[in-house]
Amino acid sequence: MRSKVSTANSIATILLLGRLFISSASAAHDHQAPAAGNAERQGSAERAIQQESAGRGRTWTSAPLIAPAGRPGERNSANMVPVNLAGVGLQVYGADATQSPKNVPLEDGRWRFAPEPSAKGGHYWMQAAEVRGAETRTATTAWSFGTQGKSPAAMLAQAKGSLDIVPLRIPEHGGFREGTAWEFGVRYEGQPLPGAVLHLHTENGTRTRVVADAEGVAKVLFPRDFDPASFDKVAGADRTRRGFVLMTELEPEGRKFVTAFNHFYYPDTMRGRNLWAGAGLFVIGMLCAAPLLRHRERNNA
Amino acid sequence: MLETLRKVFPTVSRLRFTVQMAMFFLMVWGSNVVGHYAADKISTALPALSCAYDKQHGSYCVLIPLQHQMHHRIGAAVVKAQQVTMQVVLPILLTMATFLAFFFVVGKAFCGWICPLGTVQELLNKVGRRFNRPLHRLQDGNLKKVRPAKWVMLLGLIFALPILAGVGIAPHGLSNPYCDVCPSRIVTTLLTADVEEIALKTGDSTRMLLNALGNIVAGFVVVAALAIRQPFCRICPMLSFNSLFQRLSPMRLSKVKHESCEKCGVCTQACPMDIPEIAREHGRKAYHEDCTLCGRCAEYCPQDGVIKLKWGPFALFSSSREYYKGRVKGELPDGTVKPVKFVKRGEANA
Ligand code: SF4
Ligand code: SF4
Ligand code: SF4
Repeated sequence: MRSKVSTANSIATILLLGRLFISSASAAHDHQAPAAGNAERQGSAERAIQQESAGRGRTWTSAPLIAPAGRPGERNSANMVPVNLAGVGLQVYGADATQSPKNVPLEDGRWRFAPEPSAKGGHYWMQAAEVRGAETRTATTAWSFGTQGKSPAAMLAQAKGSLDIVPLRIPEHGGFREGTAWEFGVRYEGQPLPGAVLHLHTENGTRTRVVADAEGVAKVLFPRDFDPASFDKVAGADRTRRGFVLMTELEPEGRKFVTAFNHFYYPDTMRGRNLWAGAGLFVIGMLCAAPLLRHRERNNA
Repeated sequence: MLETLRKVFPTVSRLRFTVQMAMFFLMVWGSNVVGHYAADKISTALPALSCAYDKQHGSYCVLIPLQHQMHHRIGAAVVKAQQVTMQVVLPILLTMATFLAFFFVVGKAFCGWICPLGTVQELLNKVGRRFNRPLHRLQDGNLKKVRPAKWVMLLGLIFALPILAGVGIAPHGLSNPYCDVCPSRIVTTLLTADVEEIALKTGDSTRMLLNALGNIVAGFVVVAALAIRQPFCRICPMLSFNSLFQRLSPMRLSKVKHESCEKCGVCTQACPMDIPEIAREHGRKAYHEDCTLCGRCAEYCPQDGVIKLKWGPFALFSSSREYYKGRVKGELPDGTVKPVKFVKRGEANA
């Protein structure tokens, strides 16, 4: 037991030393990483998902998902579980597109991933594919650790499966938000797929479809479908989140590909704010300073 | 080459204004150039109020990671009754190392040459001078009262309250209290046409109160800057934080003793921070904790070689009578320029 603890301590120290050259603002984004959050419950990973699903409608989607199931406050590792996907391995791509992905086996119903000390933190791409006869079902998600790593631009540009749905940008501040539009590229064998149909399912119940443009880019407008009563009582609207998934299908030459990208989206920031009250207080501040402009210094005039 | 530079930048103020403007664009809208991810930013621990809440920033200030580290690391470590391990100390050391690496090169000139909020206040004061608004200076008595405020802001809002919130003694809403009152958050986000930050956060009552105060402070600063030079800088925690390290950077202000200083005092008049010590003192004491290394005192000192802006042994600029004569023709030491006058039609024709 003791040796396990000391091994864990030395791993933690190595991880920390590996972060020596990371920009220091790690803590600034600690609670913005999609890693630590609402889906986290004690007990087994499956139970966590089942409990969460049970509370908000058990099967909000039939799409394959990679869902987080770690402990609250988990910083240096990610615990994920497959949903609507049979037991397969997880491939994790780092920001360095020249490196091959890391294979993480499914153990006790969950994938446990911790970045190499040299790879620092930052953004990762996770992918799990299940082949059922001629059909390949692929779940993907993006994962961001609080610690800052390399830019994920090259990682996103990299072709990973046959059929990919990739956000053109991974949000870092507060994530995807309702009422905002984000672009997703759809690619087949690394080439843009114009006219691809993306199905958007949200955990709040929205079902809609978006069609990719001539460049294979779909502009997805996140629906304003949060019920204010569902906002996290302690953390507030800003930190309440729900899952969403984008799914597309392609059937080339007798084969079938079903690919999904899942992540979280948050309520509109303005839901917890009052613009008129804020502007009014700003004006009060201005008025308080106004006498400074009127009191002319006569001897300077 | 040097001649061309002299022609383009005939005064230190012109050079400083150009640098300020370039940095202003980089700090406020820079992500459109450097990239959107934190990894692309120039730094995430900059010694200036380049705001992290601005969604288009090209870098952001050291005060936000500091507050979060106090809250998450130190506060959390105390709660768990852990020893203060490397896991707690290392991120703070990293923040400090990044900060110091930047600070080493330009020191407190981050305030006088780079900070977007400093630039906004200075531009507003120029407008005030142009429109002949009164100039209120902070003299000895008032200065004594105001000066400790920046230390209270630093110790209270950057260090103490976030730690107390992390420990659970203070409400969670006090986890980054300085950001909640920081005027740069409101001013820079408004400049990117983003109204999220000026809107009052209504959820948590502690945060709502702090935000309300922040909005009032920001409104006050915007108008006060027309009549007081650098009003927020006087109480800015970044100024006190930077002044803790000001002797570590080779960039500094140097002043030698001169017999005419006692009666002259032009440098203090020129100083946007109204620092009387620059006229009264010399040597180490003349480089005051309030100094932003703007260099105006050196520009307006009429004595050759008395005030210098130096980087290590190199004098970047040295005061001279010739330069002074040219400088006062364009602008008086206190910033007064030819005012814009509104003349009634009848008077104009008379
Ligand atoms: S609010 Fe102020 S202190 Fe906080 S990140 Fe913005 S500029 Fe820095
Ligand atoms: S003192 Fe003024 S210039 Fe310096 S960081 Fe604060 S607001 Fe900016
Ligand atoms: S002492 Fe000189 S350099 Fe420092 S703030 Fe005043 S005028 Fe600027």
